[in-house]
Amino acid sequence: MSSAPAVLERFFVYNPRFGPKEDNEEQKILYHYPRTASLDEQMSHVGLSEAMTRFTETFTSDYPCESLHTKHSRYTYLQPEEGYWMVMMMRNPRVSSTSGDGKLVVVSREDELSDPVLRGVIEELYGAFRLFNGDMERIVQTSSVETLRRRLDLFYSNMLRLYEARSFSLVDTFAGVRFFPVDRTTYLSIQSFCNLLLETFPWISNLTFMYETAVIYSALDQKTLRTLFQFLRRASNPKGSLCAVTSPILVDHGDDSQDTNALSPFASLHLQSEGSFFAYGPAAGSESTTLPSIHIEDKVYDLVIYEQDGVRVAFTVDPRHWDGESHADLQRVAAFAEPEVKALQRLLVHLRPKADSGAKDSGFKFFYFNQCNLALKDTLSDKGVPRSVMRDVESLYERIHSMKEDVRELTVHTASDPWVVARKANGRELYVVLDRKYGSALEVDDEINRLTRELFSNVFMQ
Amino acid sequence: VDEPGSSEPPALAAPISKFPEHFTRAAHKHQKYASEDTEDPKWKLHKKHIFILSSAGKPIYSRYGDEQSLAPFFGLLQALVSFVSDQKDSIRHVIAGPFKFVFVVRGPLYFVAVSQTDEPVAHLRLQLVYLHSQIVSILTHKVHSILAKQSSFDIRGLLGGTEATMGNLLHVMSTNASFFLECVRCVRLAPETRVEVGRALQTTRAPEAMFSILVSGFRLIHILRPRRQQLHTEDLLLVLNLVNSSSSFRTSDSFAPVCMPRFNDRGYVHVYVSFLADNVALILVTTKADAFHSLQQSREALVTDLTNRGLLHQITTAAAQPPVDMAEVERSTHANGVLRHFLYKAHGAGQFIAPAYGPPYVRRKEQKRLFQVYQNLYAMAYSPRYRSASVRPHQIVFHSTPSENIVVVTSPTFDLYAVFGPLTQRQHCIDVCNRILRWLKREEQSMLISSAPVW
Repeated sequence: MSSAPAVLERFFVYNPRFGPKEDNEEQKILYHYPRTASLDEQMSHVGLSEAMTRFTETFTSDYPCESLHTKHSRYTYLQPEEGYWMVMMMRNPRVSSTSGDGKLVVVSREDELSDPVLRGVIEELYGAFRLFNGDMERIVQTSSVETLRRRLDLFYSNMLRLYEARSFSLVDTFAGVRFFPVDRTTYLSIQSFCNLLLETFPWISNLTFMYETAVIYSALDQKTLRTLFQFLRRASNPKGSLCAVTSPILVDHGDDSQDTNALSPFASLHLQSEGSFFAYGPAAGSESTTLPSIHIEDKVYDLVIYEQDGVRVAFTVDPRHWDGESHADLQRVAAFAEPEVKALQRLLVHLRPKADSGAKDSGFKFFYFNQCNLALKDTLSDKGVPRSVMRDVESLYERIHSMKEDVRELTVHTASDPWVVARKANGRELYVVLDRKYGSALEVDDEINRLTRELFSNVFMQ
Repeated sequence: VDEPGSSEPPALAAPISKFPEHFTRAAHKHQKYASEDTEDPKWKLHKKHIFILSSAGKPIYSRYGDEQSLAPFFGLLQALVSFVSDQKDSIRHVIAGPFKFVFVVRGPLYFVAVSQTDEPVAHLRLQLVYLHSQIVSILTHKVHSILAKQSSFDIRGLLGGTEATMGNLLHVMSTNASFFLECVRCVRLAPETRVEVGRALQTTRAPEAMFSILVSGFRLIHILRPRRQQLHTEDLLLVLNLVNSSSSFRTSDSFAPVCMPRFNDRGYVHVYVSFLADNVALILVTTKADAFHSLQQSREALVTDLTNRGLLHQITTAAAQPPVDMAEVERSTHANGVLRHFLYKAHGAGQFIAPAYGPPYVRRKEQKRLFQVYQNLYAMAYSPRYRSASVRPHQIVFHSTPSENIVVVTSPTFDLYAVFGPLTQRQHCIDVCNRILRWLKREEQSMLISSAPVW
């Protein structure tokens, strides 16, 4: 008996507007993964999507088509901009076994994948494209459909590599931002460093200060912060560093060439000490800087990320500022920041979440999400939680969000599995897995109440 | 041992002539929407659409609207199914916000539900599967081969006159827990009385009667079966629906061919129906198409026997009441008013117990809302992972909303769904659940048929 995990099998973007007639129908396809799919295959999938989305529209124009469940696959639909459709097709996990008479029996596990999780993933896929390229419609308006096609190709051909099905989880659905809890003094020190940085280098904007993949301070608007955070999370290696991970950001030079050298992604420019560098810096030695652009509201900025010993400072720069001086400017920033960051890092290292590891010992793992400030606390993604338990957590999320009822709590305990508790109130959601055997529902209830009091009274959140 | 039902269907005119045009209120309701089509804005507002079509896209049934003018829409449904099967795949369902579009394919027959209700996908599927069984119960499995040979064949002619049964089935599946719980409820009788009734059925049984069933509405009074044959719940529910769909059964004894899909989907059995009282019906299932008179005689004998022993009166009185009301439960469990309702399913007996609805579930809307919450919790407990388990695992579920708290306990022997007020403390809920279980243990003999008599 063997099993095959879920796989992201297909991802495509189309807009019927660009291929309205029978004879130029293929024009509506803006991007398709895998590239190797024949045009016929691509068109038939686009056709199915168009039929599905139009079908649901017959009954409701208020709610767009979200997902299609079939025996072997799961399709997730998103219309992020008027007329532009994104479709992600996952192949369900499969189990094969040999039946009594020697035949191979393959069974698709139709209920393994979770729609809310996939929805989170496809929204992230769009969000990341938009962050680094701007609106699709804008690209078409200011440039051309061809440019859009090229940008999509450039972006997703690399981006999709980062999206392995086994990494999908409810965390993607919350699309929250992990905040690093600090005490008031440390927070003020960090804030004063940021202010100083801005005073010294007034051309810096949208400053964000992070430590160990969690945010402490940010001047970014919530939406952009969330998208950037998600992207950095996905683009970081397990240790949380951007270094030595293939980047999806390639620069579009306006022609067909892809300048892979100029942006050997996350190539780092090492500065004074070994520990500090700019991600997206120039390849070692050269003078030219190719920084990725990000789009915030309708403006385009250059994105600069400075990393040192687990601290990550990100900021934006109006591209008109550089005037060929970027290398020198960034060197000065690094020179200024290095000692300050070193001092802050020494403070932060002591504040590494002990409260959570305490929770780990006491047998809890949880997700906590606050819709108002997008704060996400997550100890559930740590290793050691079996997939089946995560699936239970996802089921609770699905059930709570699909019923019209305002479900405040949904708790399930099956035989010898852990208790799984979901609570929702006032825009906050909490999902807890108690991995110790609790005797009774009352013990569980007490423990959850205690957990809530203990953990969430101490968290310093913006 | 009886041979299975005759493999040759009787002249198909027969079913039609036995089901004259007495529509029940439920089925009749849909008549007023019969002229709608996709252009009509009111058409989209219906909470649950049901469509049945052939693999060639030919309309067979639409709950709302006129099938003919909906023909293009049916064509679209057929295209969607083919699109997916062209990819060597099978379509299951589509989600758009609160809308669920569920597809069930059975050979050349496609069943589609478009629902904005809170019913879970699993239950919408179940309803579509029942509709398929309903069609088979009228036409046998032959309907598949008819359509396979000639996909454009219009089977509506063959189904003519059965809209009432179909409509009633849809109505009843949304309000009667028997369907999603996959078991039936019983009329409450003292165990001794039940035994007496069973004996009466046994002694008066006509040799041709395979199953002898006494019912009231969808509730079982008693059932006599062959030693080696069980009556599948699905077959029973389809027959009960048939009997309850048309008032003609009440006025005179009837004898109709019916296919019981689980028993034998290739042929017909015959069903003798006779009302012994206003609310009590005798249903005799036989494989012999010429058994009418013999069965009728056994019915006379049964009535005589029951009347003489005063049993008929007991049965009719018992059938007129709900098996249990909340006042009795309150008295027995001292719940202090916190318990509002419950469902109890006994796996061994294959039956369930539920009290009549009481406050605050007085209005139909509230009852339907609670009903759909029950369905969702059932779907959670019977999710695919646990459905295939050979032994039902022990499970506890707590569900809490501003409207109520519900505790679900499942085990290999029973399921209990208990509904409490939203402010009820957890400890109290658990205590009351235990009291319900203890009380049921004492009382269940009268509320369940633990062993059906056999012949």
